[in-house]
Amino acid sequence: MKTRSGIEIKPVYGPDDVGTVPPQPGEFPYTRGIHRTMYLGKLWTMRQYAGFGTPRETNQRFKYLLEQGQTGLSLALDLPTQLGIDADDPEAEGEVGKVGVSIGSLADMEELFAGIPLGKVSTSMTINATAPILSAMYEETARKQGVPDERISGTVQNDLLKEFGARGAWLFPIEPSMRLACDLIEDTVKRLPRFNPISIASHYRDAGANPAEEMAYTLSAGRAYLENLLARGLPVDSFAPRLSFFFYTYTNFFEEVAKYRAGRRIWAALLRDKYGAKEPESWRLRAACVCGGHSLTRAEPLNNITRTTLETLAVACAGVQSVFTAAYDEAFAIPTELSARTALRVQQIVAYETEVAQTADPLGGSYFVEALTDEMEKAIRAVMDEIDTRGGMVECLRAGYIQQRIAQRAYEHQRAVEKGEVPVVGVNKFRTVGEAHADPEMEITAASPEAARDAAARVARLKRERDAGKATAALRALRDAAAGEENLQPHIREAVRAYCTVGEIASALKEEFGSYQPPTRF
Amino acid sequence: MESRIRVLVGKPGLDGHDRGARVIAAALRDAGMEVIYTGLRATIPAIAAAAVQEDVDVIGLSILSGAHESICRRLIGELKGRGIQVPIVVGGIIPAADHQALRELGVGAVFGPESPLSAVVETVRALASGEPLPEPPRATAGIPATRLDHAAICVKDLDASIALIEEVLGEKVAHREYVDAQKVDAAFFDFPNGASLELVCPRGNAGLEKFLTKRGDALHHLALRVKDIDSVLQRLAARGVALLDKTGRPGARGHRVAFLHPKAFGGTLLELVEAHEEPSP
Repeated sequence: MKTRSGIEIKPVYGPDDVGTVPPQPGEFPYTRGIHRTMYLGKLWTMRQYAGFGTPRETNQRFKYLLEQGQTGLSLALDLPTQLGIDADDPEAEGEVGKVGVSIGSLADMEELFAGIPLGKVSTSMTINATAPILSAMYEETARKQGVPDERISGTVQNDLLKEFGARGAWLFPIEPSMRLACDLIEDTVKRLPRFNPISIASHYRDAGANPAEEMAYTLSAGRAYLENLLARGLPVDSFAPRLSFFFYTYTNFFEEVAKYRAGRRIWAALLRDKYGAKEPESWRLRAACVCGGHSLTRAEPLNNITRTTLETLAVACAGVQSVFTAAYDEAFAIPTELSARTALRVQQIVAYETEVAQTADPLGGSYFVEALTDEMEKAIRAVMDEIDTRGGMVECLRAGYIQQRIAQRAYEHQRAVEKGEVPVVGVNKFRTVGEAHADPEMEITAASPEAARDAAARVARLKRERDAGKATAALRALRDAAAGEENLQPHIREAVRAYCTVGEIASALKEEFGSYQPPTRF
Repeated sequence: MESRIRVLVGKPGLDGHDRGARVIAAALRDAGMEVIYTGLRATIPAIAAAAVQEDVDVIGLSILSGAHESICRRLIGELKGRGIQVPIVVGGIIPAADHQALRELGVGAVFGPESPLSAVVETVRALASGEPLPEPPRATAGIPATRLDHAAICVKDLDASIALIEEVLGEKVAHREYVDAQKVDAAFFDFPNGASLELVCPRGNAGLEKFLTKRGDALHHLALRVKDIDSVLQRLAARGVALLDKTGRPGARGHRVAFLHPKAFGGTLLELVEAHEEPSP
């Protein structure tokens, strides 16, 4: 028997299988967790991804989730917003408000958070190519609510490397994308102490990579950002504590626990020993994660609740900081209120009905888990070394190496599922025969059809009503700055304040940076 | 040599998740087709232009964003504008309620996340050659028997019958047991193809006692091997087939079994057997 990463599983483990017992939680290299008291000190943040249609609709869903006991917000944005296309652009046709909310300008952001106190709630935004624009909008909205800079808290994903590697929401070529991402990080760490300007994400996994590769690619991307910022002359301890991570978790329970433990160990050693960070805050790998993703099935969707429950328990045993548990109908459409609430309840049941939050690293010392942690560390390091040999993560993405590996893994996995080598209950094992399997009837939340028209109308109205001279000047200044070397974030903030739209700001940058040609190999 | 089927795999729209598109492209390639992948964010005119330029037989679209209707409508219009008609296959997250609408637009077939690669390959092949689409693999409404499991003879004196059959076949009896749930003694002779001959002797089973009184030693029932006996029974019950057992119950050799009424099978008692899987060593 082997794990998903190809590690041999023995029939039984004993003391001889464990290398050295890791130090206590909260101690370097944080195998057992980044804090001494872990969830006794602070439970993980329950952060359910939501957002659809108009800012007003999402505002209502956010308020609903907060009333249900959710402790942080996670904003889903539609594809035009993610890709810097205004809602009235023909390219946005059919996509406005579909997979998330449409935010065209600061005015939309203000409406989105109306009545939600941004000094008390932190928001995570899954935004990348346009992260510099959206984080400027968020910051401005908080400021307008009277929140002081040192209390503005939240996270933007802002991880462009995984867009090239797996998720596909890039906008500019790799070099300027890295510049924009790191400009945002540099600017933020200097001004907003509680805002996470990047969440280095592991969509490589959902695109096909195995767990060891997932961790290796993600940590290698982390190194690429780190080295870019170091090259700017920033001291490592000035920004390393603000780098956060985001991972996927499937039902391979023990391997997932080992993956997080091994990842923390590798990152801590890298930061302390290779990059010379002195602050323990810099050594700690802070992880958010999603439970669900590609592990969910369309067949027999209620089984997905069981899957996400196991996954949520796994990440709780692994000691992550923030959890998004997917809804059981994710393989169909935008979750309904019922499925979204049930997903949140999964987290609450794991947190409050089990003992998992009552002691730090509950699986620590398990022969199996400790041995597997050691094996995962070896497997992750092997992949990281390979990337190093090939010139680092940026070079591997430019050459298409990562993309090719992932596509190959995805194909291998699909064939293994079809041959029954990887059991998926309800799909290739214990499959319900007949009608029950065909097409379960699901209640589906549809984005309101008015969302697109509404968004386009709002863009048009904004362009009529704002100070046109101020907007034009801000865009010109941004374009000029893009041609030079300086940090672009202050210029982007200025454009946002002048109520320039996401599309206008992206276009100004595109004039200078050009666009990316995606690989067509498979 | 027959010319190879040419397929354009398109990833239209703004969504960047092309795991599915790439897996399908690889599967079609491995099935011997010529596959061109557009890469992400292909515009509708670009897909139509590529279809003309590459002279493809089929266009496959991967759409996860929910914008499938608008994309398909625009592509079909664009192809018409160029004076060509190419069969289109759509895969991705397409709610069942929208399948019909897509077919009415002119889409040849729609696949979801768990569609087997072979089904996609066969459909593309059929669309390319203008043949009728393969029937979707459907659960049969009948009895999807994998083979004959055994034939059973009811006997008065089990030991004497075993001795007789051992002599005639020149084979030793393979297995004997008392089946508590059926109140019978059973003995099996196994054949190399996996089928068996069963001798069954009542020990408290009133039905079999009656059978022996009426008929003497005689062929008693046939048994077919099935998978997932309970859902087979459910379907038979739904069709009104006369059953003696509504669900599987314990039989010989740890298998689960159920009987159909003889009137449901032309006067012969029919048993269904779901094999007890040997635990792997």
